[in-house]
Amino acid sequence: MPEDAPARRPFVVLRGLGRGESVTGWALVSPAVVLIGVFGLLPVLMSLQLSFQKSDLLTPETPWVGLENYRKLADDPVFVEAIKHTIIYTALFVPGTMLVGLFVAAALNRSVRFISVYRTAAYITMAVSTISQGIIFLWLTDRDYGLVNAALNAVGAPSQPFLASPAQALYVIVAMTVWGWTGFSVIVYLAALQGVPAELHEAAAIDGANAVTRFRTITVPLLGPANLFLVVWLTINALQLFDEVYATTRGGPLRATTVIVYYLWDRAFVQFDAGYAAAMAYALFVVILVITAVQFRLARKHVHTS
Amino acid sequence: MPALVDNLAIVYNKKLFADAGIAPPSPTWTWDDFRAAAAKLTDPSKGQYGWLIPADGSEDTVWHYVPMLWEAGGDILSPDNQHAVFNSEAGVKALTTLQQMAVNDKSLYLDTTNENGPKLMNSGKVAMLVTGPWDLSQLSDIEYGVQVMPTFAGSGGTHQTISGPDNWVVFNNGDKRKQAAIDFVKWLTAPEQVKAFSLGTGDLPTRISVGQNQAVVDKMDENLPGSKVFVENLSNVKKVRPTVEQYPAISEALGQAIVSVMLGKDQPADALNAAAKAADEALAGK
Repeated sequence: MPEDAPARRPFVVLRGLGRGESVTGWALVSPAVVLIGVFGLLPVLMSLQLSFQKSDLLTPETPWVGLENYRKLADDPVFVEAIKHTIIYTALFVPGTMLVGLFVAAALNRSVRFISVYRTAAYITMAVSTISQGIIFLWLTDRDYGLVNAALNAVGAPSQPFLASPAQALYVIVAMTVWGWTGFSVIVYLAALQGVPAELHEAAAIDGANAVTRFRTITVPLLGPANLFLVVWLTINALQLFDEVYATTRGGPLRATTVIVYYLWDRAFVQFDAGYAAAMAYALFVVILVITAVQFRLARKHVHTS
Repeated sequence: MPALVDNLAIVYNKKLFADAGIAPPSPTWTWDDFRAAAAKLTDPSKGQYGWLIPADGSEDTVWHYVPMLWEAGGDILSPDNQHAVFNSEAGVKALTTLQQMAVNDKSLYLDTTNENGPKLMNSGKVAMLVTGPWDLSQLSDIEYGVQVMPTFAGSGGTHQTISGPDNWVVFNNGDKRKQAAIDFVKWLTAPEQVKAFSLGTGDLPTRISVGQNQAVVDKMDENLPGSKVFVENLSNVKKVRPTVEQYPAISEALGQAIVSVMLGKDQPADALNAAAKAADEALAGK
């Protein structure tokens, strides 16, 4: 087909690159390469080195300690607690964000007047900086002065301590981050929903399928790639939760919201045990790598990508 | 070289004291007086609290507790810095005071964010803060007074406070630059410069001679009312926190203990014993 011809041309051009052109090419990408190298790759390698050393980030001497930092991880009760909190958080945050996002996206996937205003409104939470979001939720959920408690009192329910309570704080952070990330999953789902061919729905409707059945049997399977992307992306973000905790509870009360990355930061920049923190970072890196690989493997079996 | 020095004192809302019909804090106040006043200044229906304490379990929490520990006659570590001694009778006494105010009286607002202190103080929701001179400039909406911290009855009446020093640190960048750095730091910390700094920033004088210069102190107090009490309060700094490498770990253990007691999750003696064990482990694992 004639349309195919232009699509192939770039490969031809690439093969024909001369020596001079490749130098020009490298010169053009070099600013990005240097930046990524210095601020991305180099710190990654340096922190690998740091994870085998003892360092307080100030003393010039950083003695080698071998695998000591990694060994310490195994019998650190706070680290175990942080893993537990991270797992609970991830298990609630990822499906929560996806479900709310899918619901909102389905509601926004229609042509009514001002639809772009509604869509912008759904996405706007992504534009709120995490710190402002944290401050907003701190005041909303404040035990004494918060609007949420005022609303609870208005319907006769007792005030809740929310972020000030070791039993509730983690769940408030789940709710807060689901709110913050819903806009993201809405956009992804909305794009996917619009890729669902209308003729499939029409055909099914003619065959007598109602809206719920059509959504379940046509739309949901076709959302496979979007689901995969969101699961992977949100999981990685959930495992790296930090800003929201820093902005609200600082890992407390009584470490109830100390997740892995917050604990890592605390060890490195509050307790100045940078080697240990680097070991923690690498442990987390391996975990994320494994989880993502498993997710992709599962997805290959179950996701329709056509 | 010292760059900055702070200390803690009571900052109180004059109007809230007058409304409640309580005499303002006096230099002879005991912690019992403090507790009784805080209870009277607490009104749940108005969301008003007698006192607020940073309660995230960080050093910010710990350094509010430490002067109480010292006043009760205790200390953080043994004199040789080898093991923790804050789980002494004095330590329990100091922490029990916090427990009574937070759990029994509910007159103590536990600020888990460490951000709300000056804001709630400035909006009249909190009657007293124990804080340093840096918060004074944020209290523009209320009329406040400053008084030294209370003492424990029977402890011989010693007032103590805690200082939070910041230091100038000079890196050794070779012999040529060494002398220049020494000269510069000498100049920077000379009385004339310390005076300019204090007058310009409201930071407390890092030199006693400047702190005793009445004209300077009066001027500081005029710039930022209450500064005078803080300057004089520097002489109540009798102890410092231990300068050991493991202090952050000790502080963390102690901070968690204090918060767990204030949240009503633990008893003072049990919490301090557990924290002392963790601190000893940190000290042993040099």
